[in-house]
Amino acid sequence: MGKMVRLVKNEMIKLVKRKSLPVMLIVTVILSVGVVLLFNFSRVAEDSSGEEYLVEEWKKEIVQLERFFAPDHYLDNAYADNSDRGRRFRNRSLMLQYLVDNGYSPYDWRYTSGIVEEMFEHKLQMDINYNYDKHKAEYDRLEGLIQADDWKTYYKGLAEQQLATYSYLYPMAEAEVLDAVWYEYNYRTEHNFRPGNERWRDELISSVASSKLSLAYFRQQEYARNTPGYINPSTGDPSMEKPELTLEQIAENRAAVLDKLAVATYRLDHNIKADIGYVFGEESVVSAGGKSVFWESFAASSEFIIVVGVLVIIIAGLIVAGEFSSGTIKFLLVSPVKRWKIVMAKYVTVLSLAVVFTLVMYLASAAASLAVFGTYGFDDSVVLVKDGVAWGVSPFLKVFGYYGWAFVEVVVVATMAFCLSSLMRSTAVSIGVGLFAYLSGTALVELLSSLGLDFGRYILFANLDLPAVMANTSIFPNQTLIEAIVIIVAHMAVFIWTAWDGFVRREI
Amino acid sequence: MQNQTTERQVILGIENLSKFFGKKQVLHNISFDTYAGEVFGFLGPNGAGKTTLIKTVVGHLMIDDGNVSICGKTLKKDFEGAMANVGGIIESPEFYKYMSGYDNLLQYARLRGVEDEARVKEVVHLVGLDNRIHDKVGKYSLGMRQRLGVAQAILHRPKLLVLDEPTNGLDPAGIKELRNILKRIAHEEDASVLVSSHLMSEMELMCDRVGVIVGGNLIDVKPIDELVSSTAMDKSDFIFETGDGAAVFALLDFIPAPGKTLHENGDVELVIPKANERELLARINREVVQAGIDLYSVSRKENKRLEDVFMELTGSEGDDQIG
Repeated sequence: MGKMVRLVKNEMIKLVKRKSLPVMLIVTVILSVGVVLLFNFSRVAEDSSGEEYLVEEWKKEIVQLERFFAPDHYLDNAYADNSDRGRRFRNRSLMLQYLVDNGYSPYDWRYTSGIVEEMFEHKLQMDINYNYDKHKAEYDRLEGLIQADDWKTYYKGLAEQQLATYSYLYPMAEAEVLDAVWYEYNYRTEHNFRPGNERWRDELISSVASSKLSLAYFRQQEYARNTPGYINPSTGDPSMEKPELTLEQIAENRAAVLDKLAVATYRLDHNIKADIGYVFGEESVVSAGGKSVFWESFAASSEFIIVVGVLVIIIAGLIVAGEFSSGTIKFLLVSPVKRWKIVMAKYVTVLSLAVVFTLVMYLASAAASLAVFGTYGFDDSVVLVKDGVAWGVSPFLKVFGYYGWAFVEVVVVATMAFCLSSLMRSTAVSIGVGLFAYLSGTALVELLSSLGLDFGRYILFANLDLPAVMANTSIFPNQTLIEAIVIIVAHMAVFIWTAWDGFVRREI
Repeated sequence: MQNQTTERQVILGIENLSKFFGKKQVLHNISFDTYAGEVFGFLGPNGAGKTTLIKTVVGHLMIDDGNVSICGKTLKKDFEGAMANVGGIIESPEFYKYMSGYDNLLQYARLRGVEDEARVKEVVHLVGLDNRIHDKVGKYSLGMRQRLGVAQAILHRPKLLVLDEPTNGLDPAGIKELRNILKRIAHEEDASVLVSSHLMSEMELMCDRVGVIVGGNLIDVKPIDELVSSTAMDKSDFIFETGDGAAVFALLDFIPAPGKTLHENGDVELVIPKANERELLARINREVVQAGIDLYSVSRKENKRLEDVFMELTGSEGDDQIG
């Protein structure tokens, strides 16, 4: 064992002193950055949904509304000023102008909660002198809340209103309704989360609240289903209590809503801003919080493992054929070390460096993605859910897993190159043949696939992407994992045996 | 020099060694031993199988038949145990050019499990590379690489030192130095040194015993003095430098033809029986002078003896071998 360590150390020193190894590490970093930049260029630009864009939309709407009142409008201006339609247009125009003038963004609580809209509804009633005093009082109260930024009072009022509405609609789901309508107010006041500060949190809170309301609905539906002839006592309206869902549908929908609730609650509890499950092919249960391009980029980088494959071919070429082309093999083999130990040390060295290169690419891709796409979602987890229980998985581990699968390809290519290297006396030929086999092999299977020549599935390079084989998305249809593993293992066995035999029994 | 026949330890033992390249047999049943404390020279024309034998001894070539043992351990059964006692330079001294001589030596130290920097410095000093050892090997001359090769070979104090054509590319001073190092290792450190060469004069100065190989057959193994005298003990070899070589050659009709040669430069070489050496010399002298030919010098030919022995032993067979 100690001997093997010394042999591997020797091989490492030879590669490090050669200066090609540091250069290769730098190349790995540069190519990793290049891959990220490539990803950046190839990405379809996201349609804007930023605040500024939405404010511009408001401004456009104001202009359109005001055209109704313009002197050259085809309708009589008097009609415009005095009709109900005209008053509503004007009122909406004024409301939007109010929001714009006060700098309230489309994500501000004063817009999202509907307080401004409600205030202008009262103004509309004041304008036509309907219950003027009552509306004036309400108008003043709401304006006071808006100016004092007193969202707590307004949200409390909203909860009370909702309580009234939903108690009326779902009388048999008292507990669920209470839980649902008070959820947002209680949660926000408890943690002092002002609405409008964090969009992702606002979205999640809405999601939780609506899930809870759905549960109330299911409870009511369930009761109606289980109680023949049930009449909703609050309304007496037969349409209200006529069950819409079967018990199976209720159970199914409730399970889905409980999953959603669990995910949203987990994310709120763990401050998980972005929904990054989609990056890893997970179904998005709660899509709040937007995408994380950082993770998209980082996860995609593993598909460019060819960078490591190429470098490993070069190293494998240097490590065995290099000894023959420089003539140093004669000295290496005047040693009290059996040849199989030397060849094994070299193979171990190649594989260790393959690991190092893969890790370097992993880290460099993470750093480059961070630099190019920012930290949004960087410290978030992928939230998974099953049977209403949510848990988080580190996306770093997920990407690491991607690299792990990609490493299968690296190992196979390294072994192939090592085999070539121990058969050849020239480094250049060994590297050249290795690169040709790797690159043209990959291209060949794609060509065969596109020509519909099915025997291509038995070529090694068609079987290296094991996750794709398992997901049945590999280049030939219906490849099986067993088949792929058998093909890989068979090739590996031939490569290793050839390298071994070629080196151990070779006369020099 | 070696002590008079005290018990001598066998270092390298070769028994009935045969080697084939394809169907062609290149070594025929070779058997011999080398002992601790001696420099064993291995002589043969190009292609006689010297390098093949040496490569088989160090494990570069597989043994087809027979046995090679080093310090009692056979290559077949205990390769690592046997090779632990071997150091060598096979063909040209090639190193990792992008590393310093020192780093190269550390590679071999690690390979042999003797990572001892003091010892590395000691051998560097022994071969006289102290000043340049930290330079990259790519900048070394062939002579320096040869010395580095020796340093590498003796790093782990091997009991058997195998050197294939070690004086190749060395200047006369380097050759002398190397000779002294090898003799010291053999005689003082009690190792067995196996050297192959076709520089006969060099071998004569360096070796204690010589084995002659021709066409893959070992035809003779003898101490150097014995080898020389066995064939030439009863004869002496003289060079006559005269004013007219051709005339002298013709004049000496009383000397049998195989014993006399007329060289291109006009010198006449005579091989005459030792028994009546003095009489014959006096007679030749007299006859030459009487014939009115100038006689400049008569000299005993010493330093080419081994070469002649070699030619005599190998005959024209050597010419048939591939170069």
